[in-house]
Amino acid sequence: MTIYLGALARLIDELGRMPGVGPKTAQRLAFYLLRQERGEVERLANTLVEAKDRIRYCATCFSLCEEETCPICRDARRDASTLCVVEEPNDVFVLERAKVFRGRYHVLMGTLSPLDGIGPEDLKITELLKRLKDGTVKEIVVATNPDVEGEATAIYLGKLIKPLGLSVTRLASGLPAGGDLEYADDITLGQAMSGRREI
Amino acid sequence: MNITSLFTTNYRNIQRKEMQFSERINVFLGKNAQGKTNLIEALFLIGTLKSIRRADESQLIQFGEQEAKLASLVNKKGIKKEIEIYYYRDKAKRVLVNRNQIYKYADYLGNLNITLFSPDDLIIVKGDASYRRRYLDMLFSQTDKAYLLDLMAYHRILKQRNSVLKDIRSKQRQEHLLDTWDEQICKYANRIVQKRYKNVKFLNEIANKMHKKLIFNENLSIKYIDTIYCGVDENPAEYEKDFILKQKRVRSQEIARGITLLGPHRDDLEIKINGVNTRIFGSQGQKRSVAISLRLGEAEYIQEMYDEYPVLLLDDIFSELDDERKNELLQLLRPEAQIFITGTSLMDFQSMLRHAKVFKIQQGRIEEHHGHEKKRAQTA
Ligand SMILES: Nc1ncnc2c1ncn2[C@@H]1O[C@H](COP(=O)(O)OP(=O)(O)OP(=O)(O)O)[C@@H](O)[C@H]1O
Ligand SMILES: [Mg+2]
Ligand SMILES: [Zn+2]
Repeated sequence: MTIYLGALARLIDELGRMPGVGPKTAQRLAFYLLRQERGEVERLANTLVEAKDRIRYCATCFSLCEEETCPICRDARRDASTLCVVEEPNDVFVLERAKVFRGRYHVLMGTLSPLDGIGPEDLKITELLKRLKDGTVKEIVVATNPDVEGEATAIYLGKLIKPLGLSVTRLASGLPAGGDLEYADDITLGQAMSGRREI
Repeated sequence: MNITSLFTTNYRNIQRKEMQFSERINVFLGKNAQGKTNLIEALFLIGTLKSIRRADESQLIQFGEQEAKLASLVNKKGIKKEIEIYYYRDKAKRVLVNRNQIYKYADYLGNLNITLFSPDDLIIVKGDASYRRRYLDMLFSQTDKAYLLDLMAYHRILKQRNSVLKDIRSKQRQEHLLDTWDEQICKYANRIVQKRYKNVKFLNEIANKMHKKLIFNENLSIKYIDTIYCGVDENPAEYEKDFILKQKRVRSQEIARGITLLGPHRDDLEIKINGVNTRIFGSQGQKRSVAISLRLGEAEYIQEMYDEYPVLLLDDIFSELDDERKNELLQLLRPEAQIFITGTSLMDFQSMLRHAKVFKIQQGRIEEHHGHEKKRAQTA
């Protein structure tokens, strides 16, 4: 890999750090970029910086937005009594695209995974409990992935929240075992939402 | 079910050559260290994606080369599949079925069912419990995808739970964090154990049937021993409940040791001949014949589950058997089976040569051997 020198080597190295990009893909992307007009590359660079500057986490639900809070949290027509708990900001987009859920969201920013040193304190669980305090929320739908860590997180939340007198349901997994939410198509998600069960 | 062809590139010491197989018997003939087991291993890889030597995958690539390829046509109930596996030194292997890339192990299994007989099978009888669990798990995963997925989830939960136990021991986490993992491990343990109870019962019947044919006055029994009942008054229907009870009792011990003490990852198979434990009291010969009966049972089990007999790979097993047992064994293999068998001398195969294709292997070079056909042509 040392055949590339200077700026080219640095570019390949930077691109190769991105998830899912191996050395070969990094090289292909680098050469693609070098073939582009300077203006094109400049636009890409600016877009990256702009996105980074403008996009932040919603102060309430931790999904991605450009304001203090996200449009869903601000939308008065959304059902404030149900809260869908997901792992990652992208899960919100996936569920929104499927148009199956009319309540609001809460992003945990991960799942329990002792192996990786991730415990409850590393997730947005304190923030979730704070949102439940005023009594508006009546039902929690836990839509973490149907893998081992997602299940464990759902069980943990159930044990934590049920004693507060709220209904806690799990998104029934019509989703493929071990498959990410991202890959579930909208139809399976629709079924999953209507078929949620108590935990 | 059969393997129609094999073509390898830069695989172990084998030189490129397209091999077209007989639907019946294929003999790999050669002196020691010429590549016979390597070919058997290639076929096993096609079937299971696992090496028979528990080898690191980069070891499959020929010395001095960067990548290896195995390509094979297999025929399952008349449906032909083209299987390609690429191994690389610096990245994960690529697997294609009919040119479509496969990403999950569970999605691959079932393309080709294989039963391997090898002298190393002795360790199933002689070795520690992990070899017997591996025997069961490989077989049940081949025939039941849900079992494989449960097993994979179980081992993931096990790792997570052990990590919590260690964190509690070092006072980094509170004990109540164990609850969610306890609930999960119990659910998956139960699913796995139920299937093991049911399947081992069936396997016991057929392995014993085969064993009696192999050695007429011996009664073989295999019994599943789980960590909750430990072989006494088993009550699988109550397993989940009893698991939870016993788990509570060993919790402090689990925390002190930082490992999970109960569950299918510590279960065993008890093997007996005429009521006597073979692992402890069996003779060398008895252990060897039990190992063969377990594999015969495996083949019959696959037949039962898939309604199709697996491809049989017999590596070096003739060298271990006397003539009488050799013939007994050959009688026990179903006549329609496709068989791949290795040996050092044509003499060992006299009785089967009429249906056989013989491949001579010398330092990785493969040559089809036509000697016996010519002879037959002359006498005709
Ligand atoms: N990656 C590799 N590249 C080249 N040669 C290899 C590789 N891996 C193994 N070999 C060679 O293959 C040979 C062993 O082949 P194999 O185990 O198939 O022998 P065999 O014919 O089964 O012999 P035996 O009758 O003793 O069992 C050894 O000489 C070994 O060095
Ligand atoms: Mg060998
Ligand atoms: Zn929000």
